Amino acid sequence: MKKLLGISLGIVTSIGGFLDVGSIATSAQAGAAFGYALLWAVFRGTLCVIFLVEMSGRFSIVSGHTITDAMRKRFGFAAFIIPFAATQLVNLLVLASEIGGICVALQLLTGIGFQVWAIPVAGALWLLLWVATFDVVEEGTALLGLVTLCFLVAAFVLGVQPKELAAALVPSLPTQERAHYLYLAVSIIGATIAPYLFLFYSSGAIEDHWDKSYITANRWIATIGMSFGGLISMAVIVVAALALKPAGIRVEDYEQAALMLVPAFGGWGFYLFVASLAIACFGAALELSLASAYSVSQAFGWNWGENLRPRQAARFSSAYTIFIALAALIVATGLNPMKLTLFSMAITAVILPLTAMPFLVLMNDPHYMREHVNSRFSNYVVIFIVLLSALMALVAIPLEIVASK
Amino acid sequence: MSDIDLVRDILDTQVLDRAKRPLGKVDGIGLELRDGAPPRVAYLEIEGPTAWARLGARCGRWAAKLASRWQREGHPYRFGWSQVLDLDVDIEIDADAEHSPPFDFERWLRERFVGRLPGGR
Amino acid sequence: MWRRPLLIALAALAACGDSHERELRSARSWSVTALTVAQYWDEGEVPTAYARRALRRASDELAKGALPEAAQPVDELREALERGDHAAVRRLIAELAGR
Repeated sequence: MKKLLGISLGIVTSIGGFLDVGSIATSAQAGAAFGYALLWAVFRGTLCVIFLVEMSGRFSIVSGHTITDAMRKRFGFAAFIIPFAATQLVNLLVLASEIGGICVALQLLTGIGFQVWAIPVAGALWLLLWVATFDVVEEGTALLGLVTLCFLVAAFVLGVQPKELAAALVPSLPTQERAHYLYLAVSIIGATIAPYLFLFYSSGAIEDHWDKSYITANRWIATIGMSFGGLISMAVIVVAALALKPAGIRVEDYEQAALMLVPAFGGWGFYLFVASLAIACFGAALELSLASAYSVSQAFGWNWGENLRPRQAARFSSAYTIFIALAALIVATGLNPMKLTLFSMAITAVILPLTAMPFLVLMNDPHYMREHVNSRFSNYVVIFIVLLSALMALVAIPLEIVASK
Repeated sequence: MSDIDLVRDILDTQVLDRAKRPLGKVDGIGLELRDGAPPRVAYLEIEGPTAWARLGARCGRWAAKLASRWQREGHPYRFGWSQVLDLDVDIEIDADAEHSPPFDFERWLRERFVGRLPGGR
Repeated sequence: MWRRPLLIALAALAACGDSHERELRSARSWSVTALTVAQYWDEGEVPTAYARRALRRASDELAKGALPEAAQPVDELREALERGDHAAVRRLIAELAGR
């Protein structure tokens, strides 16, 4: 019975925590520009992330290690440190995007420019991490994150025909704007398969002391939680396609995205969008900050844990403090948050193999996984999606840079 | 007694103290070369700059210069097999993390920054 | 050997050729955005703080883009909105929608 409660909580946490600034921005742009056409990107990304998250949980349960700890141990400091540094740098950009998202939500609400909000928002984030425990942080924001279910509701209110969606699950290329389409596809995948997601999940499994009895629970949580989350991402595409595309409204910035829930909900629509954006980004920012602090601490063997008082884990808490401060500075410079978001998502897709491939090696190493090593199928799914995405990103990013001049 | 693979099982492995608190990672292994006998493990080392030195000597020196700000005595921190209590996923040794040299950085941060800020339950 | 760089260059050129189309699309998108925002404001569905800022942004983007002449009517919309003049806003919407 208690396990069932735990599973339900885990699922709710995954659903509520799935959407972030990357998914909202990329899905909104995709729906407004290309209708349902890019649903396949969310679908494939979600499929990959289900596998990766399940593996991440299984890895921590069976091996007793967190992923970062095991990466250094398995590959040695020298081989490990370069991909690690690259991932941390990209994480910083993504955190800046998430903080930017919260600030933009506040700008939409109050009319006061997003840059002004950077420091106060960062302060709030930091304060929460400083005084709260892991459970409060994770469950609190995830429960609030359920507000993003409004996109699912909106899709139905606007009259989505599920049969039309099925066709879009197969990848296709449009006749026009191919470069931009490719760039969005790559950004969607980077937004969906965020490395911080499964790295954080691994640390969470250790923080929550998951043992072998959680193996099945982990599978349920990963599958149902991530599927539902992916569904919400798809709902954003659908809503943008039904509410914005017919009028010819492109989502070049958040001002335009903010309109998408009004046709479905009237006056509430605007505020639901703002709330969804703010809450989703806030939750993601907390996770991202912790994920980075976990990574650094586990890489160097420091004591870590959100359940510890900051004084008990000074290096760990300093890590997330510095991280948040740097990200806030990036936002305060006034860099366009929408552009920063899309760019960091695309870059994520490029460096994804650097994290996913070594992780697959770990998942197939019987020394860590004993009899729970990966099936061949799991390996193929992840390798295929990750490598393809990276290749696409390497092509799409330069094209987009050229095209936007 | 099965073989222990030094690189796979020892190097870069997490070290815990006797209360199972994280102490650091095995950043280096010291081997004693003997005439007419195979090399022997002289000590295991927990020392950040040693790990950085694996990227290059200059890297190691730069890390050491930075670390000298907070390091007191007892560096580089080394321990031998006699101190190892258990060898499994992590290496447990007979030490007290809180009062060990690898925690100099932790204590320094606590004194200078973290401890000075209010809150933290 | 020379084919690959040529293919990349062609792809880049293709992306550039889209560029005028892209600007037009963007300009149309911002005009419709302005109209929609104004309409929603008139119906009380979005707050004034947001509408004001969104209209200014639309006007800035239009001025930079392929339809700079559309910027001025959007400015007029914004001014009417800031005055709280629903009648003027409705009138301007009707005018702009007609164009």
